[in-house]
Amino acid sequence: MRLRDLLVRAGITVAVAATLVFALLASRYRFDFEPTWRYRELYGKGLLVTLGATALAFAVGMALGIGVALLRVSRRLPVRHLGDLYVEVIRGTPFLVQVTIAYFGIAPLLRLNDKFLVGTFALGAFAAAYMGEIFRAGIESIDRGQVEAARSLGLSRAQSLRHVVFPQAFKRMIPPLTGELIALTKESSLLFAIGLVEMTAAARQVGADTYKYLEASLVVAAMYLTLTVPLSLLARKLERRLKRSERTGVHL
Amino acid sequence: MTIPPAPPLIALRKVTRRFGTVTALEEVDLDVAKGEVVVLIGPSGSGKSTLLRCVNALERPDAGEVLLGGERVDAARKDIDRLRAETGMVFQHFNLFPHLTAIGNVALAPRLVRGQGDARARALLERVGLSDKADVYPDMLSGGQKQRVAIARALAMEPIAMLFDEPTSALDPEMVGEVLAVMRDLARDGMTMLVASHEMGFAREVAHRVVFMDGGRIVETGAPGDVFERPRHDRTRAFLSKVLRA
Repeated sequence: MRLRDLLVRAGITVAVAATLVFALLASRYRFDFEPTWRYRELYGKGLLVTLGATALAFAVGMALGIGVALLRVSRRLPVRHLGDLYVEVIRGTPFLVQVTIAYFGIAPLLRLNDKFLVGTFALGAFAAAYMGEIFRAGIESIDRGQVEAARSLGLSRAQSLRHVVFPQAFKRMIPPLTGELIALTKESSLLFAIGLVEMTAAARQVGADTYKYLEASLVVAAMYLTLTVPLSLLARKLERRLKRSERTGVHL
Repeated sequence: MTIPPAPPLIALRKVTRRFGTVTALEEVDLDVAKGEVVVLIGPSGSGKSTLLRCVNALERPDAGEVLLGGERVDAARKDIDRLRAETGMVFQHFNLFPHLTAIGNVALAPRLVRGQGDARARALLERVGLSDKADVYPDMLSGGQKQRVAIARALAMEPIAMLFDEPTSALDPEMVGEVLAVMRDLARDGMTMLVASHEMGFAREVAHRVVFMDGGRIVETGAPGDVFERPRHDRTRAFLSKVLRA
């Protein structure tokens, strides 16, 4: 990023933040962050659960998502339909409901009672429906001529996918995949439904214990932003570096 | 005593290819001998591209067969990848890999399929006059340079024949010459070439044989001088009068 752009962005960010702080102060509400500070350990534990659940769910979502994408591009109708069914069911119901069913309905069948594990896999399975669509769109966005050129040179189908299609598709998938990772960071808060204490649940508990709901929420909001903003920045950097070989992107 | 004629390097036997209700190729027979340069001419949609794509197994004939060095080209055979590498295909729109540099494009197949290093790829880039562009991405190359990289890439697997699908049709006029020069060079070295092209000058100068196609059939074939000066069919004459006048 050029220095001038950086300064502009920093300036606007500080101005907006200052306005919000000023507005909050002007509300004559007496802020008291002391009680929240006393609960820092609970926040810390919540942070670890959020981080762990998000990372693991993202990995599960990747693996399952590739499977879903391959199902949906199959030449066989029954296989394709299985993929469609999965996406429809997952996308058509709220995650809050899904994780409840997973914990109280499916987990006992598998003799699982680890909340973290069940919740995280449910979150991963949820993400897979969306990530599968990202993979499918990414693969299908690559020009047919690319595969034809690769095959005409004697590359196998797998080699063409691995060395020609995926590297190009991956570039296009970075922005939506980052979006999904950020969404997961926030959606992991719904794991409170099965009693998992992640960041949001921790903040709710602090609020309930101290009656400082606003302070507890502001703290957790800042924590979420500390996680998600660097992710966005990193993705943007990565995208730009991968894009060096391609001249795309417009400013409107 | 006569020496039996060498078997054709590329042979099409009654090849038919349909797309829905459209017949792109209808019972086409064509032999290309080793070292021969054959230029396919004809209007758009006459089947030139489909013919080339059948030789490279990018299209599968509905009937008939394609033989390459006596082996049947069939996408279903187990060693189709090896057989495909025997022909180098050059596309109208280059189809370079945008995520790889020029040298990366040329070296990819030899590296993956044969575990070869980049030395040959470098030599090929030099041959097409682009050794100074080895580390440049396709995005930064002109159309003519892209197509020359694509030719080097197609040569990388040491094919026994080269297939050109309208290699200059997507180029700005001032870039056509550099690509034709490379092709002329290849022909001079004895490469067997099957070329779909609208470059009549190139056909006249380089081709051993010109094949005029229309509506999925071969209408007439002969030495360039004969086909251009004394076309036997009205359809050929009509086509030539349009393209040669331009």
